[in-house]
Amino acid sequence: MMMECKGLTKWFGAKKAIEDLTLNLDKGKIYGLLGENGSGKTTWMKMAAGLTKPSRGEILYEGHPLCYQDKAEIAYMSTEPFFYDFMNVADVGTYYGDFFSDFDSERYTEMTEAMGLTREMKVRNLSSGMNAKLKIAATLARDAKLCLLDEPLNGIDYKAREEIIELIIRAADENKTFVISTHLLEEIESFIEYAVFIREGRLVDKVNLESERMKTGRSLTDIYVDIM
Amino acid sequence: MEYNTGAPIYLQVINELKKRMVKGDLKPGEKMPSSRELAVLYKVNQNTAARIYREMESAGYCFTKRGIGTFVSEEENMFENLKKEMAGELLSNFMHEMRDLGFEKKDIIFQIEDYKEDADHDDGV
Amino acid sequence: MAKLIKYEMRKQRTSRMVILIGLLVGVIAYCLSILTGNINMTAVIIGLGVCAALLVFFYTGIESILVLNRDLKTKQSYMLWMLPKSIWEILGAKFISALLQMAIVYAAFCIAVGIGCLGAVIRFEGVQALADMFQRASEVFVRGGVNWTDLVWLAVYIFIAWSQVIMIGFLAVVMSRTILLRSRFAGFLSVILFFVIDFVIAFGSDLMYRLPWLADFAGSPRINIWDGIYYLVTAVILFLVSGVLADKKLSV
Repeated sequence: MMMECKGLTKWFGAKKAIEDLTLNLDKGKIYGLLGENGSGKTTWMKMAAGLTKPSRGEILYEGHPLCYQDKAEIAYMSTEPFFYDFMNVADVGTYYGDFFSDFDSERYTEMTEAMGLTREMKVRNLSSGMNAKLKIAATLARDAKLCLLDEPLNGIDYKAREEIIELIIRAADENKTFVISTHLLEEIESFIEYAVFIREGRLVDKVNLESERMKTGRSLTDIYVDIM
Repeated sequence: MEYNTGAPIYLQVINELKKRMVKGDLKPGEKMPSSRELAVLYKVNQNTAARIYREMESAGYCFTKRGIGTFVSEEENMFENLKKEMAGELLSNFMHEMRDLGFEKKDIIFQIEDYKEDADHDDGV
Repeated sequence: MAKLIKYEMRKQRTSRMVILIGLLVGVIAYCLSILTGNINMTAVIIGLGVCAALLVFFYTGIESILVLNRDLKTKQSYMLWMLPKSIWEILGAKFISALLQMAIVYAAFCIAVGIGCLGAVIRFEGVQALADMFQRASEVFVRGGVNWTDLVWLAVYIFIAWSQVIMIGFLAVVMSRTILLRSRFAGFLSVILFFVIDFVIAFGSDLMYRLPWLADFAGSPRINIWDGIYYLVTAVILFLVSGVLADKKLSV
């Protein structure tokens, strides 16, 4: 078991973002995190990344309570841009290289160049699509054991989406765990192994897609419509 | 590749690979893509790719040389058998469906002979 | 830690450059004014310079608090909180960067003032006067006219007092962002919290001097060792509380 979330609850003021959520993630699997906007996907992901502290419950990473050292093995990519304004594309690579020992700067350079980002481009001048590409390049240039991607395909044109999916598939080997939140069910259907459905902060179901297709012949969209 | 999302993906990829073997896109003894490349090619995860090769290997369509890669089986007659087998499957499905519509074998043969191949008619758009 | 400091210094670079360039312009204008003998202009520049210096000293003093607030207000907080660094390193780097920033800015101001005095003395009294001045100054030092111990203690005292202000600021910002997250009122709340914590600490200081064996020290006009100790202890406590709170409760 790579990560165990036990009875997680998160309050934001009077609002419950996550309620009594228990979820286990296995090594070497790709999970799709699915749910409506505001269902708590981002909050869960930020808790798993150690950015947000649960109000109640516990997160175990590789058997021990999640701590800051684990962030060396966990990569988190938020939906929103988060790089410092003063950085350019090369600076982002330096920053990741400075702090993450699993970061491969050559790979980063390759990926950014392939996506049409040049070293001198300023982060604050990037379009949202370009920024999304930059985030994914920085995150996937790490060799993280657990990779949490919040809406990695949002605001990206079709061709780049395919490129990003290819990068994810290439990176996701038997030692790594990926969690990808998205609304684009058709885009991820063929390569995610488990679909995790969240509604109003609660875990609704965790479905193994291949066995579901085998047993009931339902596609991901069918399951989504059925249970959500 | 376009998937029928209501059926197991790994079986669809295996079927596709078998077709490519029968058509001769994948020749006997030829090296097949690594499972990582297969995963990228068919947009499946690496576990599924490994499973595909496992299943194909146990069915004898390919074999693995340790540390070198996976290769298409070298037995020529296997491809002939595979071709017959796949044709047989398609045919029996077809006959089954036609009988459900109430056609006799004789009518079906007659219809087939009368059938005009139409370029726009293939994948039933 | 060094790398964290590097990026904290980078965040303060713009303000640093603005201050240093402003200072340079001021010094050049001042030198021009004494070279041309325009005394009115010199006076205006010195007046402006003193005002600007006061503002800059104040701003540089609390800049690190503003930077922390900005970090937590935006998604850029992920840049720090996604790193495999403990909260102590993150807050510690911010504190050290604040010190460095102040050291750079204050050193620049000292140099500017030095250049200003030098220029004035050379221009109006001649090089001979400058030599005399150095002679007299060194005599004063040698004879011990300046009380060095007092000067060092004053510096230590100011440093501790300033550290405490920074720590109050850190705690106020962390508390306010823990309670209100990204709300627009969080900045306002931190200002209120700042004064509340400051008040509580001042109140604690009053209490301390009610202790019988310390009562004699209260209100003494000279630098008071107990004030220093109290500020130091409270600064450390504030730092610990900020760290624990940020580590356990703060959600970015």
